[in-house]
Amino acid sequence: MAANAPALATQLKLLIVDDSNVIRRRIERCQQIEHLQVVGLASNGVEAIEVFRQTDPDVVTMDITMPEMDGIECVEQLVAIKPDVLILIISALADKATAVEAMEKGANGFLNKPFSDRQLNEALAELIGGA
Amino acid sequence: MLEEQDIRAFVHGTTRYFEVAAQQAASVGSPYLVTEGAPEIHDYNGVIAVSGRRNGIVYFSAPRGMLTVLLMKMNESNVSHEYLCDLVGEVANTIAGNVRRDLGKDFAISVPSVVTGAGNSVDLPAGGRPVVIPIHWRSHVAKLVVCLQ
Amino acid sequence: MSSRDRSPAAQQGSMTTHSSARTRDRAATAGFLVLLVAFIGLVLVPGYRVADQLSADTAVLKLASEQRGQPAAIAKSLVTIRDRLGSRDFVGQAVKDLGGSVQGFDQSLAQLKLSAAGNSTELRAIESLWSDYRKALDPVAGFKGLPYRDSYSSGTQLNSSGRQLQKDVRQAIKSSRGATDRLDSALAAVGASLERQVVTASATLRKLMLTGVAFACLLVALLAYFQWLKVRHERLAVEAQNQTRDILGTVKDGLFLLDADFRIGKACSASLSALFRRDDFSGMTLEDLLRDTVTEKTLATAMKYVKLLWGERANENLIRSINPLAEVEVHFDRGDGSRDLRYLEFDFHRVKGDRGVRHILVSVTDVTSRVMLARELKVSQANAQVQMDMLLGLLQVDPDQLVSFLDDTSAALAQVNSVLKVPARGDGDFRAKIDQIFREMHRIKGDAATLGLASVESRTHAFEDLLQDLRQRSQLSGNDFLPLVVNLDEILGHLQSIRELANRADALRTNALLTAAPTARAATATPHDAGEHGMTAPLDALAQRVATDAGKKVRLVTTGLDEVPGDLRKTVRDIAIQLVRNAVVHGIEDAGTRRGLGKDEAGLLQIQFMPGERGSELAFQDDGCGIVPERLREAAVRRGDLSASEAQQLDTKASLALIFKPGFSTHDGNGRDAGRGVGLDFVLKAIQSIGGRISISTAPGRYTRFTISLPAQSGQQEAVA
Repeated sequence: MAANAPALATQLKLLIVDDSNVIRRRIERCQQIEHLQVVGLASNGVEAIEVFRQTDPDVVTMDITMPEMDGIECVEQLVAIKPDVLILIISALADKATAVEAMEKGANGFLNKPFSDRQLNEALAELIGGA
Repeated sequence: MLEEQDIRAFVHGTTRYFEVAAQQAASVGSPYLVTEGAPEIHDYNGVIAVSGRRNGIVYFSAPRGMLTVLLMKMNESNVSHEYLCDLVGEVANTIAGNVRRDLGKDFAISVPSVVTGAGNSVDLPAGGRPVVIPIHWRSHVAKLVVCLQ
Repeated sequence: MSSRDRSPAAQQGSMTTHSSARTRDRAATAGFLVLLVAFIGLVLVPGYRVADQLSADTAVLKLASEQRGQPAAIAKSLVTIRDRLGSRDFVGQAVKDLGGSVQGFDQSLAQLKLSAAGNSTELRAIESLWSDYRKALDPVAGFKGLPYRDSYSSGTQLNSSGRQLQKDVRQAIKSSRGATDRLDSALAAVGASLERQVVTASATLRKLMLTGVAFACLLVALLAYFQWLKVRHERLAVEAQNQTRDILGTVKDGLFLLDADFRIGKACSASLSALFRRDDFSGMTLEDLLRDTVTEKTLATAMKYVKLLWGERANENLIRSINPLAEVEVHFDRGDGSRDLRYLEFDFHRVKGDRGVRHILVSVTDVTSRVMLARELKVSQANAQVQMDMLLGLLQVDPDQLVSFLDDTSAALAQVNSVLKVPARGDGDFRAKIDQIFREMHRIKGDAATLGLASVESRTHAFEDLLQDLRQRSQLSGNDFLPLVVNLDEILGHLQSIRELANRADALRTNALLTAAPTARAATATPHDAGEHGMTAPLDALAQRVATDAGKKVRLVTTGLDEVPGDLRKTVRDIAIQLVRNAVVHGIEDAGTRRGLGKDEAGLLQIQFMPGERGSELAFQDDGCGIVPERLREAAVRRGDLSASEAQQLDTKASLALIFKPGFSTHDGNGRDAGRGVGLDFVLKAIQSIGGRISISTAPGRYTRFTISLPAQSGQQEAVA
């Protein structure tokens, strides 16, 4: 899936935001999308914005339930900084209203926890392919 | 008062976690009530406070061995104390978050807190009898404790 | 009314015909314009030119024919001048006429030169002729003064200018002789040539007119074609409009379109009015529509969601999966202050055009009955509980009996919970728990029935139903046990509230005792004693109730029950409850059958307690149908406890022992009193737990007797207050 995205000649930069270190490392390890390179990790919204400014990523995976600043608010701020950033929400919150709210703030995709490696890669591929 | 639908949602979230994240199903043991005091806990406990439509706490209590194997199943080689705490919190968060699919957005959940050490205890809210649901996975047994007012 | 706006279906349906019709229209319009330009360029302009030329030529022709008389007139003027000179008459007028003619001819010639004939050889010939002729004419025409000289001697004589004039006139006349004819014929030739031109032009003009008529016919035909197309379009549009109207009028869902401003389109289905109880949808926004019927929160989420639909960020499937309006609670004012609650399902579809999303098609379905059906169970359950609780308040249960019931029950429920707590993984582990839990629940149910605590009895009965259901499942896991803990929790809660109620009732009673006269104390003491020691009354009540439920009649006779020592009392009571129930349900026949057998309509049930030094005996006998060993064996085979061959080998005693197996029953009913086959194994367990024994003797059609030997009472007897 990832292989046949020839339009993406350049590298895309990925920022992973999740309060769980285990999940951050899991996403980093599992994502096998070509041209997608992890440039930063953050464990809450505030940190995410800081890392975002430093690394200017193209793609972000975003948890919702986090200390300091939750993912929904963070999405809004990241989109304000860089409107064409692609954001995949990866959250355990499985209700529709939360998904709607995240999308409304500017997220582009939604993946529920728990997820398998295949689900993660499919969600990322769709996110990038659909851009 | 307990509602079967609520408990079922939590139990389903728990078994699903193992099925999806570790590709190995967990089975549900015989559930029981805690009529006096607090239930005994395992080494690692991820605690989520629930508010809104129902108030109370839900926690996932697991022995070190189970979490270690779970981490390894997720291809994580670092099985330090810190990572085990992280994982147990994440499992609890996922279980509680998934419940909103069935119970709606009014089911507000907190950021997970982690209690460690079998000697410790998790503070339970007054006014509800906790239900303990043993979760069997491989050779290990964990507990899902649901205590809602 | 614009047919375009009527509906999405009409638009989509006629999309293909529309586009082809549009190109055809365009081609026809272009053809029309080309024809029009051609008509103007090829017919009107040349026609105008030809007609113009024709009229000019006709004027010249007239002029040319008029000039034909002029040379003759000139010649005549010359002759007049000559004659007058001869007769010495006045020549002034003739000279003037000649000058006028010459000048006129000059002018005509100039005009002819400007005309179509201007370059013709004939005209050139006329010109050279005329210029020669004119040389001869000019001296005559230009004459001024008097040609005569008057003298007395010779009268009037020509003077020198007169003589010159005479000479000029003669010369001019000489010239005129050739010139007049030649000019005349030359002018005739010019006229003829002009006439030919006029004829040709007329012919051309006729042709042009014919062409024009042809063009006009073509244009008229095209216009007619346009008109026909228009009519046909309109007819198709009307047809589509009718179909759309029929669809929108019939479809059960509420259908409408939303534009980018979230406004509801003009076309919506008739059902929409019924769903939202209004008709003024046109121009209304989705927000207006929802505002008064859903909660603010739902409204906010809905509006955010619809905004997402307009954006192209999320794909259709994702958008569909997060639809927050799949089941929305809506309220309508009934008009009398009350509100009507409905559940609506909204479905959103993007209608895409060439440039992204054009509309959102919204379909609304009333799913109230579906939702209600799902909730009905819950509501009815809750109602039943409320009713039970109300009944509880009306119950007059002996307080001490109630307290001991509550204690016993709490202990039994704790036992149930500890059975649950034993770790279990496989199907067998879970199955083993069911029987143990069943026994505890069954005993509580018996106690509750004896006390008349219907609310507890119904709960424990429901619990037994759950267990019964579990027994029949093929594979058991912890998930199947979740209803058990929930119900256990509920029963515990219920007991807690009974306890609180009992405490309050107790407080009231104490109050009453303190304030009332001593007689009141005596009055309450009697039932108190009876409750403590008297087992007969509750057992009789139980027997009557069970018999009524089963449509039977029974008479209970007890002996010695008041002498049961304190430490045995609970066991005896527990056993008696089960055996009474068992006897009424399984032993005693219904009244009709009994009459047929020659027995008394009411079955006789006897309970006898005989205390003794080395132990006591409890006898239990009914005059019912007795136990048929063969039927027990059949039931055991049916249940799968025994194979047919194993059953064959059982003797009567072993066959009778089958009735003590957990869950055994020959009864297929599922009433609250029997059919569970739990009673007797419980009786056996209870007897064995205190070291007693039980034996059965029975005669089919006549009686069944249970004889229970109880060991000597232990020394640890607690004083009974």
